[in-house]
Amino acid sequence: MGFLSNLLGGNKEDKALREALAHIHRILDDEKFQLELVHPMMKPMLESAPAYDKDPNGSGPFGFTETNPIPVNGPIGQLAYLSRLETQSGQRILFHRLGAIDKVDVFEAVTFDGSGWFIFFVDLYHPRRSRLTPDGFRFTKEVAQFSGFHKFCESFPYDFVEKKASQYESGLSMAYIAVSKVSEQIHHNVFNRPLAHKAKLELIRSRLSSFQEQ
Amino acid sequence: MPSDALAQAEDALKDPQLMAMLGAQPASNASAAPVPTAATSRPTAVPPVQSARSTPSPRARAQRTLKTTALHQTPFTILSVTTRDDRRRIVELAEEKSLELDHDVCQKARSDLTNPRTRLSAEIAWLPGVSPRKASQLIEGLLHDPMAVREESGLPTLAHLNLLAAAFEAVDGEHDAEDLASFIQEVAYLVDEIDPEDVLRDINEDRAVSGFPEVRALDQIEAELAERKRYYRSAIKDALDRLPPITLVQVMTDTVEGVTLGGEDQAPELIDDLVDGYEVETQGFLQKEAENVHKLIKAARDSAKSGEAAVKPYVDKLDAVARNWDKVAQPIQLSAKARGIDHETSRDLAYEIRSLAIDLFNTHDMLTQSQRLTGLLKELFAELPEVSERVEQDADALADIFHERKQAVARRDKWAHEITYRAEIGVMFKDTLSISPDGISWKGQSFSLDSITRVRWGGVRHSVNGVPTGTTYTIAFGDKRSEAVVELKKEDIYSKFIDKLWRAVCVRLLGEMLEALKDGRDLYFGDALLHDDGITLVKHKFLGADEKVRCTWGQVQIWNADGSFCIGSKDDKKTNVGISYIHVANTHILEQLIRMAFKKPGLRRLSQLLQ
Repeated sequence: MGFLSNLLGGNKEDKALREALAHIHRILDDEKFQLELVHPMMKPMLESAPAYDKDPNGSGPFGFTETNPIPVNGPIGQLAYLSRLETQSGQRILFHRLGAIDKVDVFEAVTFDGSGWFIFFVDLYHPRRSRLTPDGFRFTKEVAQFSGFHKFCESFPYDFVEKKASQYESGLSMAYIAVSKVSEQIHHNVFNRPLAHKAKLELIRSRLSSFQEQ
Repeated sequence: MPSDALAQAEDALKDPQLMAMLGAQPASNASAAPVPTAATSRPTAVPPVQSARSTPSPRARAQRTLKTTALHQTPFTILSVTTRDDRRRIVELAEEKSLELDHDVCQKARSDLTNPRTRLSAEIAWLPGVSPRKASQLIEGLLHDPMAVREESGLPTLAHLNLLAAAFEAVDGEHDAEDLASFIQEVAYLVDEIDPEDVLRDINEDRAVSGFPEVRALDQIEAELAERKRYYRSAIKDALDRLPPITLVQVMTDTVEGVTLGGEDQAPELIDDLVDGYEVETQGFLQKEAENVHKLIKAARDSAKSGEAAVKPYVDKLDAVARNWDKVAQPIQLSAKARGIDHETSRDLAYEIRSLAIDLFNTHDMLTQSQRLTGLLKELFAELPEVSERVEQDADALADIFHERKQAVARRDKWAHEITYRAEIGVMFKDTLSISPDGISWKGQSFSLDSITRVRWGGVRHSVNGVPTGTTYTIAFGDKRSEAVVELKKEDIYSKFIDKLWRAVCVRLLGEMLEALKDGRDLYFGDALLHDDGITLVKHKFLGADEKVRCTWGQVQIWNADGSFCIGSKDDKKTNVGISYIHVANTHILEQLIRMAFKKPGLRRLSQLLQ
């Protein structure tokens, strides 16, 4: 057993514990199970959409423009996909949802060490998540516990701890990364948006067709 | 400026994702990847970005050419006359041109330029204040690259506008909507900048050279400028009419949105005129769509009695038609908002939809459809301040109701979860004791939770010669007609079941008991008679018959003894009653009631607990 058993206190052969671990694994990995978690009204839409790694009619750089969004399976699929990304230098990312441009969700992301800021475009209306990564990224080999939120974070990423706690009711909080992975950086205020990124945010905000209130 | 800010600005200009969002290419390194926006990490190589709004602007596309424009039909161009040529030169040139052009046209042009009354119109429609040489270049350039005049700077306002109006003739159905909206905005702002005195000065400067009498009255200029403005509006309108309808609506919306900052600022006069013309032309369409909305609202109302499934298809259609309506009405709504008024037709339509939303909720309790319509109104009619405010209040009210219902459902679910329990009882032949929101069942007897009027429970410890041999637990529950009695040995089942029973039944019985007392009814518990303001106990006498004594709550005390709940007079030890927990119905509830009352100092009536 890896981190998950440690998370819950070692290799206890406890049935409830094993069930909890299996549940977390399913949340993180099992695409079919992730589909089960979406709203019943939304599920048929996802299932009837094409399953592909990339929109064959998409244009522009994959994941970086709304004309070529990353296909994923619902809101949990968004978390699962983005939480798997890491830069070529091995930095995973924290992320939150800014809103949507039509049906495409827009996420802001920053590396765990605060060195890189990104805007991703994700299309959640698909039955499975893409196996491709945006340029400059690869999939992490770590267990990809969730490192972001499919809702807007007012003080992103400084409110990570608070937002993680708010996931308690959704039952997802156990599937999140340990706070210790980012607490040091938060404490030292390493997350500062560069000028270009701020400009992108301004432009994106003016174009969002839906957004969550701050 | 700090150097790191400069460095960041330079980085920003090289960021392909940012440049793509701005609709431009990066200043350098066009093959650089979009992102990372960082001080430390550098972009990796990927193909260049294609913007979402990637249609190249018309100016960046193949250059359009024109064969002629309105400016090429003015007397000055027809005769190749400059504003500084005198009467004699005009006549000469008219004679010369008559050899190659239509004679009547040349003579009319000559007449227009030499007659002081008509000359002013020709001058205003020409390029006042522009040197003859420059004018000639501009007129020629207009044919090769009409849109290039948009980049001209330093031209007198009127002359620039006349050139721009001519450039509108190059707009065709393929023109980019966003660019055309910008073009119209440029012209609208310039029209507001025209100064009649500047125009008077420019014309008189040329007239001083050409020898024509100076214009003295400013009102002559103003009258001509008013006519000129009508011409600009007509030039733009003609250009818009060449667009496909969807593009036309988009251009109008973008234009009004841009100049009014979303309906917040007053628009230039030209835009208001354009919108008024647009409103007249779209009236037929809007009227027809409004009729469709009315029909759908009626159909939704008529079908509401058949349930939400019957209404939903109409609301779906209403959504689509209202969006269609709003798309076309958007420029008018924005313009009206900027002028501080509501677009009446939109307002009426919005109120009709709102009325349906209210009816669906108030009369038919269709919260989802009602919320949907309210959301639609919020989205589509945000430009109507009065409607927007009311709809906002509706949306808040519905959201509160929705939230409360969700909470109620959650509370009900939680309660259902808390009271649900089943257990197998018996050693050899097992029976199932179960409790859930559906009721309590035991050995083929079932009671709905609401029907239960009595409960009792307790345990009896057994021993042989002082050696404990176990405890038997009894739980009984029943309605007015019958009672089920459960005997069991397992304490954990007993405890769990009593816990569930308390939540599921006893809390209600306690409330009902208080209500009964409040209504003035008395309730028997064994030998005791319970009143709202006290209790009637029994005074036990060694000789003679027992006597009933009525005590107030301040006169009694309570305790437990021998499996009974005891109530006695504080002043007389012989006046008391013991009520068995296990044999008398609802003793536990009575105890809870009295204990609650005793925690409230000065309480005189049990029913005060309800307050």
